This record gives sequence, C-alpha cells and structure tokens, in this order.
Amino acid sequence: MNASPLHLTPRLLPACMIAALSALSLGLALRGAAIFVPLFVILGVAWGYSRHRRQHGLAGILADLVLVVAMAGAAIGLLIGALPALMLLAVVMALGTWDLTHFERRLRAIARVERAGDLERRHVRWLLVAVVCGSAIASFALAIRTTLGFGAMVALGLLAALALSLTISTLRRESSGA
Amino acid sequence: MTGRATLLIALVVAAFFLGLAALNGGIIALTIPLLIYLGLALVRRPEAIRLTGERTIGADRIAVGEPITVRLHLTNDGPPLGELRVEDSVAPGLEVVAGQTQVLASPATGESVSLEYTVCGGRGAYRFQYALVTALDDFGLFQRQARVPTAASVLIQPTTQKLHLIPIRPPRTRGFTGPIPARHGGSGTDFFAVREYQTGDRLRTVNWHVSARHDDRIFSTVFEQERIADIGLILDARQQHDVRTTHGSLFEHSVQATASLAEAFLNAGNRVGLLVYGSGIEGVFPGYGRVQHNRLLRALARAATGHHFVFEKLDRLPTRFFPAQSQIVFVGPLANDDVPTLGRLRALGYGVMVVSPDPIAFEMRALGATPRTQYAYRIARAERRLNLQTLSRRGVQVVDWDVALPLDAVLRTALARQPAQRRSPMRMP
Repeated sequence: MNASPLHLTPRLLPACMIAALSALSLGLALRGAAIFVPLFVILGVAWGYSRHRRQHGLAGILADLVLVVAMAGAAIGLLIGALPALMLLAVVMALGTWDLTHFERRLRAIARVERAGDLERRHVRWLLVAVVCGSAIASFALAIRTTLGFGAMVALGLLAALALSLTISTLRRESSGA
Repeated sequence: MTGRATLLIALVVAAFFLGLAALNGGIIALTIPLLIYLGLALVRRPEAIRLTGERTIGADRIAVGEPITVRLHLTNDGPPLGELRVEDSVAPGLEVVAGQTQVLASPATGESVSLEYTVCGGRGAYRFQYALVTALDDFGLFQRQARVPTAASVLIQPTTQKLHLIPIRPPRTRGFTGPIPARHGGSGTDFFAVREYQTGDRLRTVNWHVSARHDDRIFSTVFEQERIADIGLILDARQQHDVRTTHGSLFEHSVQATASLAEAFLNAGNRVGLLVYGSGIEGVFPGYGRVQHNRLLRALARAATGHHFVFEKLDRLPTRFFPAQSQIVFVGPLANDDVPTLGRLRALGYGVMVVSPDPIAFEMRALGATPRTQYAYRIARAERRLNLQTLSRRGVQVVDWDVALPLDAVLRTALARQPAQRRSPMRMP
C-alpha cells in the first residue's frame, strides 16, 4: 500500500457519492418511495467505511453495486414519475463515483506510480468531458418529446443491438489478435 | 475488454430494453452518459503495444546471500499509452529485498519507464524472461496485455570454505610438480628411501650415517617426488538420499563441501573434474585453474536433486569418466548400497575418499531429542558407523562430517587419523 499523491480524487469521490445517493433518495422520496432510502444510506456508509479502512477491493465492488442500484433506482423513479433531472444527476454522479473508485483502486494496487498527479488530472479531465457531454445530451433527450410507433421502436432496438454486437465482436477480435 | 466494460454494457442494454418495454424514453435517455463514457473509452483504447525492453543485472554470477540489483528499462516506440502497468517477472526462488517490481506510468512516444530492485536468493541458476505490460485506456475499461522479452540470467554460486591442504595419495600422479606425494623417488622434501650412491648424486644427498656403517660403499638419501594428481569429485544428487528438514537441505551442505574441495584441489594445482549423480549424470571434464574453477562452480550452482530409476544405485557410476588410478572424492550422505560400489572403485585401483555429511545428526537436530528419537538415532548411528568402518577397512579415506562443524576442521581431524594409503609399489628413480 503506497501513499500515492492523489489530490483531486479523495475530494471528488465523497462529493460524487453523496450527490448520487441524495439525488436518488430525494427523487424517490418526493414520489412516495422513501422505502429505498435506507438501502442507499447503507450502501453509501459501507462504501465510505471500506474506503476509510483502505479496502479498495471491497470499495470497488460496492461502487459497482451503487452504479447498478442508481440505474435501477433512476429507472424506477422515472416510471413512478420522479423528477428526470434528479434521476439523471443520480446516474451521472454514480458513474463518476464508480469510475473514480476504480481509478483510485488501480493506483493504490501499484507500489510505484510515475507522475501520479498528471495521471490523475488527465483522468479527471476526461471524466468531466464524459459527464458533461453525457448530461447535456441526456438532458436534451429528456426534454424533447416525440412519439414513436411500435415498428420504429423495434427497428431502433434492433439497430442498437446490432451496433452493440458489432462493437463487442470487433473488440474481441482485436484483443485475440493482440 | 475488462469486467467493468462488460458491466457497463450490460447496464446500458438492460436499461435500453427496459425503456423499450415500458415505452419510457426517459429510461433510454439515462443510458446516454454511460454510452458517452463507453464511447470515449472505446475511442481512446490502447492500440498495439510497441515497447522495447532492456534488462541489466548487476553481475552474471554472485555468491549465496549477496544482493543483486536488477534494472529494467522499457521504451515506448508506439503511440502514447494512457495507463501502462509494468510488472516484472522475478525468477521463482528469488526474493525482492528492496525496490519495486511494479510501476504504473503513462509514457508518451519515445518515453521510457524504468524499474530497479534488489533481489537475494539461494544457490541456483535463475532466468528472467519478460516484463508483463498492461495498457489501459483512461477509464480502465479496455486493456491490452503483452510480454516484452527482456531475458537475462544470473547464477548464484555456492559459498566455499577455505580448506587447508588435503592429504590424498592417489595411486597415480601426473608429471608436473605439485603437493601430492608421488610414490616416486627424486627431488622432494619428504624422505623416501636410501640407496647406493650413483654418479651424479649431489653431495648434500649423501647419507653419511648409513655410509659410515659400510667400509667401501656410499649411500644417498632419496626424497619423494611431489606432483599434481587427477581428482574426480562425485556429488551425490539422488533425491532419495537427500534429507530436508526445517533447517534446510542436506544436499546444500554436500554442494558447499564439493565447491570447497574443488577450490582447495584446484588451488593446489591439481586437475579436477566433477560428476553430479542424480536424475542423470552431469559432468565437468577434468581441467586446471581459474577457468575450471568457474566451470565447476557453474555446474554446482545448477546442481539439483532428482530421481531416476536407472541411477537409484551408485553402481551406474561411469568410472571411465575418471583417469585410471586417479583420486576419487565422493561427497554424499552414504547409503547402504553405496558401500560395495565405493569399495569396488578402490579395488579397481582408484584412490577413494568419502566426505559424508551426516544425515542422522542433521535430521536429529530438526526432530529434537525424545526417548523414541534417541533410540532410533542409536540404531541409525550404529549402522552408519558400520558402513564407514567397512569402507575404511577397504582402504577408503572416510570423513564423517557433522554439518554443524566446519568442514576444514573435520577434514583435518579425520584425515590426520587415517594414514594415507601406501598399497602401490614404490618406484625408485
């Protein structure tokens, strides 16, 4: 275990986690689904405790769980009519938490990190790009209202599945070639 | 692709189909940040790793216990790498005592990553093969692994003890002056015989005491020539005769003794060869000097115990490997089956010495003294003593070595008690 000079990550991580779980809890509570709030609190506390004890492996697993729960919670929230902005904020912040937790875990697992500060700054910069772009496009998508027929929906679904399978097969081919 | 990427894709797919099923576009919209994140990682995924590596090791051979520094230098000849994890593959058996064998860096094109660490290890030949490098994108979702060949090797040689001159008397010596009495009269330091004066004898060799007893004849003292000899070392590496305890392996003591004996014999100018008898037969042909010393140490560094049904007994020993009537030194724990073979070697005309690390005392130290072990110890000790006495009666020089004691002291004590063999006929000049 080393004391790698990470400055931004330890500050951003709790902020992201608190924002994600607060947005999710608030959104769901406002629609009368406060029953989920204790689960979010337990998850957040467990994640924070594992980080405090420097159990970064466990923190990574909990971060995975937080992302899954945030996605599921946001989906439920949207279905029960929660504020879409809050749900989007929860997902985006959970994504940030998930990414930074694993980044921290990768760096802590290695005894020596060269220019850790540069590495961290670059990582956070790219994460910000992903989060800002993702939020902007998702907000726009949530704002527009259009009606799609069943056929269009199925075609869209098939297109998405095809694109995804092509991407995965390309990646697999690349990795086997390497 | 890592497990994290799979999780993200699974989430996107699940949310997408949930959105479709629930006819809720908002749920599909929630996947957009995840897709953007995934897309960025995909675009910035590492391309082919093109690294060249160079490994430098402080020395190509060292002694046991000496630390050695390993330096690894990798240069990125390809595109910049977001996150590059370098893990050096330390040869099994070596222990890292200082420094790090892993590093995380993000080298740009032409930049280098270096690692430096210190290792220690036991006797043996160690080979470093490659450095394992893993390149990841900025988000750690897609990775590529490669092994950068950085082969190098290091030999950890057995330590040796300084030994005094070992008194051996092989039946045949070589033609060059050395420290071993040659059973030939001539110039030397030790008394050999008295014979009648011959023309050319130096006046200082005339034995006036003997001559005074005869009226008309003069006698000269003849000294024994001292020459070098052919010495063949046999290291017993049969696995079934090795004793391994919490204190280590008895074989390591045998190796150390063989190395010390080889050094002592070579320093005295003798021609020394080596045969490692274990899972196979590995030999170093007889030779002289520093180069031969290095050859022997290299062979001893690589020596390991092994088992082969053919070589279970010592009777497969290739005696032709050693010159006729040369000195053979057998180093091993001495099993019951070995006694007739060693006796036969002596009968064939070889000078035979057995340096036997005591397996009973060695094992006893690990087991501790209890009434039961004491009883077993006495029985095993009696059997071993009988074997050693049998060998001694057959004209074999026997050194029973308790490895807790220094070899030099044991050799001096044991060989001082045993008069050197004088069975071959004396030859007058």
